[in-house]
Amino acid sequence: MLATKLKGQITRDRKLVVEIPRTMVTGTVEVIVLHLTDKPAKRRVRRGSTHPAFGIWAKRADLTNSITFANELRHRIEMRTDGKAAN
Amino acid sequence: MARPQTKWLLETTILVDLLRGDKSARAWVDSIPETSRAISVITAAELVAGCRNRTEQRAVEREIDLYEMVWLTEEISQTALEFYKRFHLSHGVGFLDCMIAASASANELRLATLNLKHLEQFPDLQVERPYS
Repeated sequence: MLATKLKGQITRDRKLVVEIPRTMVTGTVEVIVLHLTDKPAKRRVRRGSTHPAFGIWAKRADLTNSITFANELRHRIEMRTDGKAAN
Repeated sequence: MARPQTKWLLETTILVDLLRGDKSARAWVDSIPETSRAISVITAAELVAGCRNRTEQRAVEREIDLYEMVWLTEEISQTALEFYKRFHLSHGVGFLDCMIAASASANELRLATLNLKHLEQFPDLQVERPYS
């Protein structure tokens, strides 16, 4: 059995990327993964990142009911009173 | 929770809930595959109208970008006008409600709203309040 030590990277999409030297013989190989760090990298949880606007209106005093507020926004647009620009 | 392979049109009330930080709204929206979430351009405009400053508007714009946008087409406009003629006097519905209903109807989308009262009278429209 011929054994060769190589280094590679496990990517985020869970693929192993290894650069093979040209001198290596081609053919089927078996791969044993030894992590060089003690612990695998922690998966980063990006809280709130999936909804960039989640909670941005949480403290609005003028927003106590979503149905009423949505009706008001709709009414503003229907009545064309949504613009604030000066005449 | 959402049925598999059901595509949803999220009405403004759902997005307002999300922006208010409602966890039920978020859990329900997240239960739908990203490719099955759509909003009407009417909802997008309403959310922008609700912003008080540029910072809020930027966050809202980034949120809007996550959803497939249903633009107004000739078919949607015609259907909306038919809905308006039919239900304006009898049910007091507004034209923008009709536009949203027509957007769901034309694209065979299930409509998610908290406001069933305004939207459940439209024919052949699947309307649901998805969480309580």
